[in-house]
Amino acid sequence: MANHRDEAEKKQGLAGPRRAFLQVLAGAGAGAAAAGVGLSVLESQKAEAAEIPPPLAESSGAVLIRMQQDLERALTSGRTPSWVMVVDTRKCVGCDACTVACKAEVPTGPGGFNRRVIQKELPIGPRPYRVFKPVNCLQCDDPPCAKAVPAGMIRKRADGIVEFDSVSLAGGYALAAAKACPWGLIHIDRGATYTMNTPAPQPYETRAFEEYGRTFRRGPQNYELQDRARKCTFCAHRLERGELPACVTTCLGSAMYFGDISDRSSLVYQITQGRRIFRGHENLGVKPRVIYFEESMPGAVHVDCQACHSR
Amino acid sequence: MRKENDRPRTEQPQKTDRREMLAGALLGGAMLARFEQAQAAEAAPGSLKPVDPSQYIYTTCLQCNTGCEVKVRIQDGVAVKIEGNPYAPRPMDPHIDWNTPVADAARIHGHFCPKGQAGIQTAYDPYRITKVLKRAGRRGEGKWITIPFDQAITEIVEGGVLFPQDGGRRVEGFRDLYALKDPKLFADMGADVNRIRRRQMTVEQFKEKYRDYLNTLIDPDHPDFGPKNNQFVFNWGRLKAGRGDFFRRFVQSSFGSVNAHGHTTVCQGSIYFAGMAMSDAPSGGSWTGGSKWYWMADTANAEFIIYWGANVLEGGYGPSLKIPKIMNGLASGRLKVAVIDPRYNKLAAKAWRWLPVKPGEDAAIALAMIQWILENERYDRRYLENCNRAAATADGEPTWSNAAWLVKIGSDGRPGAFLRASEIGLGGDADTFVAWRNGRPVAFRSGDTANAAEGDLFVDTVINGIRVKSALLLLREEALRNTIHQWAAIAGVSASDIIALAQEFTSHGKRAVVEIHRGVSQHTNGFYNSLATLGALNTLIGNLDWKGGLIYGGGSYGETGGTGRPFQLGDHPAAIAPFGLDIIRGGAVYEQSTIFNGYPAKRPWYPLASDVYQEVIPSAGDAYPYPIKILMLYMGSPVYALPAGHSLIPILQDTEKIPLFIASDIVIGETSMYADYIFPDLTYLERWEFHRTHPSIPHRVSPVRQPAIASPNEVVRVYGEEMPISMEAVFLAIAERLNLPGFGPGAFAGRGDLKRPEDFYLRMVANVAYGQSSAEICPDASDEEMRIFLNARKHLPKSVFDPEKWAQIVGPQWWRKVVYVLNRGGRWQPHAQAWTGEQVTNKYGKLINLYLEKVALLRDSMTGQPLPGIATYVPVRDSLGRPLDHRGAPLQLITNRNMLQTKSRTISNYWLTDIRPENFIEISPRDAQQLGLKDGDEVYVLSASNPDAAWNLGHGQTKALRGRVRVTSTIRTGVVTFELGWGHWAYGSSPQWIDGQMILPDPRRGRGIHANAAMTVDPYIRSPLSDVVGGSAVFYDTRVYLVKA
Repeated sequence: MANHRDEAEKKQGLAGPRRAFLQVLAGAGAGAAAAGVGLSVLESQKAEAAEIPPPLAESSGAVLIRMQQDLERALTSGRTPSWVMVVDTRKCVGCDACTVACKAEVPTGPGGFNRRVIQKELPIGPRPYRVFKPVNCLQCDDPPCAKAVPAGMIRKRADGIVEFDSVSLAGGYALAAAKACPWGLIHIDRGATYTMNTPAPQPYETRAFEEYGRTFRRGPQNYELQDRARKCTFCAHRLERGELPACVTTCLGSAMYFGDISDRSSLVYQITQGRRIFRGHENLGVKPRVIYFEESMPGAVHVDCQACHSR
Repeated sequence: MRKENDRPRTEQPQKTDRREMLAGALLGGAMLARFEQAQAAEAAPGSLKPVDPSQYIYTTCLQCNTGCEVKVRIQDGVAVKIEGNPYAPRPMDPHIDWNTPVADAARIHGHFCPKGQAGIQTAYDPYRITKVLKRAGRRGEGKWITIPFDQAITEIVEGGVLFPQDGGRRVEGFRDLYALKDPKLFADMGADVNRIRRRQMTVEQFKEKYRDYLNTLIDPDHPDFGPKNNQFVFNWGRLKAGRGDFFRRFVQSSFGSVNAHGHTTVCQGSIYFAGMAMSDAPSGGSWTGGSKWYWMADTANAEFIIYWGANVLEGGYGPSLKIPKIMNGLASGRLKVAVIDPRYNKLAAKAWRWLPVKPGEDAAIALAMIQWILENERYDRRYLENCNRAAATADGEPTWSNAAWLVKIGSDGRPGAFLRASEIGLGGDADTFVAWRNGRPVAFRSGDTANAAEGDLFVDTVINGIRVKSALLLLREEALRNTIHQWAAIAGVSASDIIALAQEFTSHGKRAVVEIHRGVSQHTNGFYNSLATLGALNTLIGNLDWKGGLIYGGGSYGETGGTGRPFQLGDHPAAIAPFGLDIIRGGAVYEQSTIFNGYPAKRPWYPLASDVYQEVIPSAGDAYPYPIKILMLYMGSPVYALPAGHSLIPILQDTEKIPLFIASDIVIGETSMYADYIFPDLTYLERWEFHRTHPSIPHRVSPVRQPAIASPNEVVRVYGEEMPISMEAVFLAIAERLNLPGFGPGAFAGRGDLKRPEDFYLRMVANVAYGQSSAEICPDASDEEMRIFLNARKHLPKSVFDPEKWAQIVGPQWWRKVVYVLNRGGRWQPHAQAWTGEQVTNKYGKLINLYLEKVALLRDSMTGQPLPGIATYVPVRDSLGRPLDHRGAPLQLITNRNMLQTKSRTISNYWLTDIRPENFIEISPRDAQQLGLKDGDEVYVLSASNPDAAWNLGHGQTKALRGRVRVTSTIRTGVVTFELGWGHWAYGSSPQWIDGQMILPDPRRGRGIHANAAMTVDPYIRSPLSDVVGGSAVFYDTRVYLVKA
């Protein structure tokens, strides 16, 4: 069985978008790039030969409830869960609901983001391809950031979360950790608030919040995370209470999944089986725990991740 | 500790330039093994920590008009996070059972959009005003003093020389305008004004009859202007039920002004008013009863949706409500979508097809599709042949159309009224119509449930000497005015795309839908575009009320009362039915007025529309039909929101044209900056409202907006009650001063007082608790839920939340039921009940008009020409029917929504501006190349009506129409766009002086461009361009020059 995209393309007589994209690159004189892309296209076609499982038909609310049940089961099973996040990029609409949910859930200052959504346009003919890709700390199983700082400052938890010893991870260490992340997903918290230079600084910005089991309070003075490294924690403080990460529940496209991959009855285990997926920097051996689907929306213009990213 | 951490730092992976380099693999056993390995290291996890259900207050968002149900997390008395409410269909599909205990729902959060989540920053805005501001300088100068609430109320009620700096003029107050008070006189005079309109009474006779009351009229020579009370104009931006009922009670039922006007036409007015005309029913020879409403797709069940000028992944009631359903539908293969839009919007990027229509030429595509569908017989013949309810019922159809009804054709070939059976000797009354079947005429009534009537679809014949055609034939004639290729050329799209679209649209039975929004309606031809797209195309496939088809929405739970419900909010000891022309001439026929003076009228009349936002202030400026005395603006910013809103500024600054301008606002905004007084209002997180529903929600829903946090506003005393200043407090205080019936003690005609907002709104909540019938009365909140309710509100001051008082308002019988509703933030029909078999449960269920007799019998008040009664192609034109003169400007200017802003009122949301600090003038690569522009270049936007490329703000202040260019292949060549919401010059972005202190502005709030001032000012009416039929304010019919700065 061919996949949806091929079927749809055949049916509609669409020119292969990847071919068009290659032509654009070649036309722009990007010969070397095109060669690289060509190789990866071969790779991706190889991958496409595998049969893609039927799409998830449940509605978004049902998926939320199922993940909620998975989560509560994982937390009460008596075993250590193995958390993963799965992103179905086809369904991401680049709305930044997750970005804002993240800022509200775990206060970060102006310009500080634990979560972002990358948006790009690839002009490949009359119908450009629009890329929407949410990014946050990938909770690598072999985290480069941990190797960049003295032992103990960055710890790999048994459930997969990469944990910072936030207060000691300061100054040059914070910078080193941030620099070591191949994706730039660690930022330095400068301690600023959005309303600090306005007529009335607001209390919601200085409320207490929890990170890696400790409580912090932003503010002009004695903010313990000032000049510290910050990043996504998979909302570990929410998980403990049996709540899914803020970016997952809020996702309008229902593009985000979260759960315990070691549980074979979990949604994250089942939807990733046999799918064509991406994990960042496989070649670096960092083993990220954020997994991206790279299938196409049936009938829509699609460019594979490999068109731009090498393996 | 894991060993890897001890590795020397030189071993860190080599840094790469590709920050998002990714690797691909098939996830299988090997990868899983790696994850399992990772878990082996540490001990078992702790147990589940509890979640306190009383940290949430369930309420309703108002960051945009979607009105999603939310749960607000309160920490130490402060709102810190807003999540989607899982009990409700907007953020959760399917929503959980309404009877789920609140404690069990605490961990479940629905989907929720970024702007909604940032609403915390609308409430906690450093630039909020908390006390009454009175103008200290000239209007718009930015100089204010704070004054006590009571003083402000005295001044606006009693009038006087309120602004010495204006040169000693006396301002008339509310007491001066409260001229006519007796409800019976209102009723009698109103009836007689109607007689004058019908030429059954002369003005002289009226003056004689009411000679003792002529001093109460605006102009005794024009009794149809109504009483002086009408010179108080209440105009609002965003207003929903509850608050809307409260405010109308004041303005209309108690004060007696006819001038209560909303903002509908700045959004999508022409769709609403096309929908109203399409839903009219015959009654005594005329057409009435249509609702200001329209239809949308049953998103969760449709197989094919054409999103037409509807940017549903950014706006259009899309976020939270539609996006999950669309994305799931696309990913699972259930749904296919096509996008018709000059922009390659986000949905277009995921769509099956994209048709980059030339702005304003939408009807050309629709008529081409109609032509193809008719010529290829792909329409639902069985549905269209049904002429009345009986015939529809026999086919299992909830609705029927007038496609087969016969229309009389005038000697000029123009279709006019429907043929009545009585005209050809078939008897019946004024509502007995005729179809043609089996070679002879058939008489029928539309609502007849017993005698089914069907008619041939394409009829052109003469009966008893009367030339008639069937309505569908008239549509066919419109569709055949051009070939499909010619239509395609007009619309600037490919004919093969149109045919493919028509084919697909007719390949899914009743599970295909055309859904439209602003892109179709905000043109001068918006009304007819709406008829052709939403109206005609959907009617052709008979998809109305079908699962996956076109739906009307499930409505709400009669919050204001009705049979069986515990409280009737309309109860009033002396309710007034106001009369007279309103200031926008809404629902009024020019020819019937006492100021008919040939064509063109001084300003357009809108017999088919109401709430024509762009007419309120300009009509006051022209004193047409009469001068106004007090303008009160609530939660609206027409200067910012309207196209060519700059044309309103000189009128707002003119103290002769608008002698008293009162605004209710949460900040000093782009329009309230010109006010004489600004009363601080509550934000949506601090107050009540009933947001109700949208056409695309099949369930019956009554979300409640209730106070979640305390207000920063000054607490005042009205009718002896303490409350923070709000719009309600202002109305209550005026009512108290004027002793207006319908407010204060005994306001509900002996069945209760109305002394504070909760007196009104808690009674509405009780009605929601009642449900649709006594069988649906909701359970009492348990003791545990009562505890959760009280704990969740511990942070609210007594002036906002007083449980004893609240319980007293609704009484012991209803109190725990009210709590049950409030604990969940409203009430929603169970998910599965929205559909019954293959149809929606809550149906439109009646006639839909393909041919609009009422419209066909009206004349355009400007050109004097009769209006077409059927979907047709009308080119873009000015108010006098002339082509627009753009002075050679090459680029068509349009606007679009980004989910991160809602027009005038979200620039305070720093989380949003941190993600998107500014907007851009977006231009295609080809246009950019031609103009020598590249990304980031700054340009001025010039148009024929704004060659200075600037907002003229008065007092010599200007704001340049200057913005940065973004070159993108997501826009049609020849068209440029900008996202609405940025480019502010007030709302905290410019300095204001309060009590002599300068309030420092925040530059983050002034970034980007708001290019509305480049939009066409109609050359005749000197105000925003308008669809004179459907009422829409026109955003998209201007051409501009971009000039490099």
